[in-house]
Amino acid sequence: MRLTIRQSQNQMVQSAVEASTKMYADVGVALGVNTAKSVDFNREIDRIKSIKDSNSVVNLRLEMSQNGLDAMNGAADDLVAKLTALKGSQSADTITVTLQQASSAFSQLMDTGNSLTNGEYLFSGINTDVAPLTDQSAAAMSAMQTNLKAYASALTDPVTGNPKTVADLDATDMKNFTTMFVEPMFMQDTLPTGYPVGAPAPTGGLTYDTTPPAWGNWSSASNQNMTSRISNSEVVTSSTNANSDGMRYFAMATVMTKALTNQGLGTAGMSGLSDAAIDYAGRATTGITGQQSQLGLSQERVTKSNAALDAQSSILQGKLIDLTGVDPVEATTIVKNMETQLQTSYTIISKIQQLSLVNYL
Amino acid sequence: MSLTSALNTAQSIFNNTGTQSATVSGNIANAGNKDYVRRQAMITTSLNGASVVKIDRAQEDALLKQYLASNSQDSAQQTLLNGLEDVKSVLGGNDYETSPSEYLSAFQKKLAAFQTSPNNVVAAQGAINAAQDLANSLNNATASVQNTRAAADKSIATQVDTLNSLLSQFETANNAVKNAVNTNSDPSDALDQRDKLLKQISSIVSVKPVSRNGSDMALYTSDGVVLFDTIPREVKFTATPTYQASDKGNGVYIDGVALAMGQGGTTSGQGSLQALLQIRDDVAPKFQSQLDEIAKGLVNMFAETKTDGSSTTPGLFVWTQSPSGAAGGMPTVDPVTGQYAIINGMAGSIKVNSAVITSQGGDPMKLRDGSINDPDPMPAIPPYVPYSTNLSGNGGYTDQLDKYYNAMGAKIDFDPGTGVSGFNTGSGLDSNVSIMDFAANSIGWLEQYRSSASDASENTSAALARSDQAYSNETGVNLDEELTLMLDIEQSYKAATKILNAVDEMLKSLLDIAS
Repeated sequence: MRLTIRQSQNQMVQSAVEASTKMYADVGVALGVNTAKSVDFNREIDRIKSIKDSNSVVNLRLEMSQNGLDAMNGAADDLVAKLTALKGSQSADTITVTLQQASSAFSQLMDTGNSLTNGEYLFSGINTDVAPLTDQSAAAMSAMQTNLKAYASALTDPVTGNPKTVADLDATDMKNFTTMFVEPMFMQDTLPTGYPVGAPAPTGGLTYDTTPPAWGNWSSASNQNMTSRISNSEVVTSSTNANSDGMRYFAMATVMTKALTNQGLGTAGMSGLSDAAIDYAGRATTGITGQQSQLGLSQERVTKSNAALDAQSSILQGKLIDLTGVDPVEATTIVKNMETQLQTSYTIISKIQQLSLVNYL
Repeated sequence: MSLTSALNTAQSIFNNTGTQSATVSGNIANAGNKDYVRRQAMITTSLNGASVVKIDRAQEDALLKQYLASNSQDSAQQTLLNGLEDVKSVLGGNDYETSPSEYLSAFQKKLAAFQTSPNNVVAAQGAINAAQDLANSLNNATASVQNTRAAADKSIATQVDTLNSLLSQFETANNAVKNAVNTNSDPSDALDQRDKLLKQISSIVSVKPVSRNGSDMALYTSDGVVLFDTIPREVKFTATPTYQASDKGNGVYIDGVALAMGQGGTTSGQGSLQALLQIRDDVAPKFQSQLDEIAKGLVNMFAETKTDGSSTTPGLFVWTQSPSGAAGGMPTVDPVTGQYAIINGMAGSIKVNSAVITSQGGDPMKLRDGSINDPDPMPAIPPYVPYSTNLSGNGGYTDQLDKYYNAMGAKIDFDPGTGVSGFNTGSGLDSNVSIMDFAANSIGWLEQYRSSASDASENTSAALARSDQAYSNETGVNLDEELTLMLDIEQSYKAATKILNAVDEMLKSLLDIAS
């Protein structure tokens, strides 16, 4: 009887706990070696939660990068519009407007390029501690202007036989100038030896500026992009960097426009400059859009991974409940049964206690 | 026949009822005493009417033996279960909040968060803090497990003392029985005393009583070792006050023979001594070696290799050798098995390298760069070969962290001697699981042990209750029965007085005739 009471009371306490928590009162005793599974499931569910948390950080970085790139794209488009207008009319107004647009596009570049999220520079590649872009536009512009004058002096006017002036430069000259002098300054991290390569010797006491800033001076970004784990098995590229072609062309188009538009170019020269700048701005847009689609792919992966993680998590939750869950109705029934049993025991005990011959003698 | 003989008979009735009521009142007085065996005054007829010959004791040897066996078994099972509960308490409650497994997964999460924001000092410190928690949990678990061993050892010492004193009391009781039998006096009280001691002995060690001539008794353990034969045999044990993981406890020797420890969750041990030995020498050390394997896995996993592959050194997690206290290097491979052997007590000394702990002048970012072992500042390269894989200190560098994260999910060969099932290429046992799974399996191993011990303990305690009931049904005192006997005695006393009266009347009338 004592054993019955003890067991019933234990069982009752246990079932009461189980009825309220809907889980085994002592998972270890109930599951034995399967406890390892329940621990595993719990851990996996936790881990999925943490991966989802870090995915939101990754997603933030991707979205911020997309925003920045969008803004740059917009600025490039505006610049192209202004440059196209410049081709048609070279009034002082148009030139001023173009210059303003170039300046604002350039600040957009510096602004976006050096934007921070969560204390990370977005466009630094993996070198996230350092601002990727340093403004070298003053040095670059003065070098371009010096070189443009010197380049003009190196060419001979076919009509007069004299060295050309800046105003005499035609579209072809401008195209040659941009390929020879401007492109290496942005497309290469360090200037090629003997810069400017293949340029004719200037006359009239003019010299070339042979040490303008190259892209390596502009950018401290790493070419290696950040990678982030977005699921148990998947690692995606989660950032882009300022060394991409898009950024370089963008800088080139804006700085070139800023430097050369008001240098007294003739109509033909100006049109050549606009063509070149429009070409570069177009390439910038293409490049930036390319970057955007790369990031877009990663964003899609994150979304899909989140969906997969949610599904996994709910399956695991289900399994965990299968494993450690207790039917609360059953537990409640047990509590009631035990109550009845205990009451019966108590009644019997009190009956037995009264049953003594002593009372009848 | 004569009236005088009738008087004699009446007198003997008075004698009998006196003895009978003494016996009955003795029984009633001991109604609640479990160790008291009911006596009965047996009446045999002698030449001159009824006379009390002897007091019979309701002895039940078979049931007593059954009781002793169940008692030993139950005592062993309950002791084992208590020990397992002790070890389990290291892991926390139903959610295993304080288990190394839980801390491992917290650490892995922090590592992933750090990987997402690799230039974030707070994230780095979070990962280092989680690593410290993990190392602390392994240290604490080791200390608790070794405390459990020390506590078991202490219990063994106490119980051995108790057993020795019980055996010497048994000698006294046994001699008292022999004397009583030899001198033809009532041995019942001495027998009660002897049975009581037997029951007490059986909860410490399994005991088989063997009865011999003259009510002498010899005691053997279930393994056949002599506990008592005319004189008590010595039970020897030297206690070990404190335990390190590498310490082996001393054995218990009965009459020079070592007492075996119990085996399995439904323990084969009988008596608390064997169960305590099982806890001290099997359960706790196995659990300890599982902790040690987790520690070893961590040291291996977070070790750093120089960029030219020339040397590998423990990185984030370092340990010290026991007992020399020298800094531990990489765990070495056992030349025979080709396995990393268990390093006893490694979990007790594992800690996080001070080079990454901010409060100790360290830099948590070294974890990201894999440069924990590089001196600060970095010497000129070459000639120095660095450990760092991120020499330019890029803030967004994640390769090293990703390597660590993957390593935590990768399968490792664990020593199969830990009892956690797994595959081992050397021995053909499967212990090839990730460190996370190993830690979870370790919980599974312990819970399986505890679960079967818990089931078995319900069975043994039920069996004990049954045999206790059976034994006391046969030997215990039933108050009602004694009271009815008392009525009988009263009646026969009354009858005797009637006889006395009648004879008196008859003698009187005879004498009246004479007068």
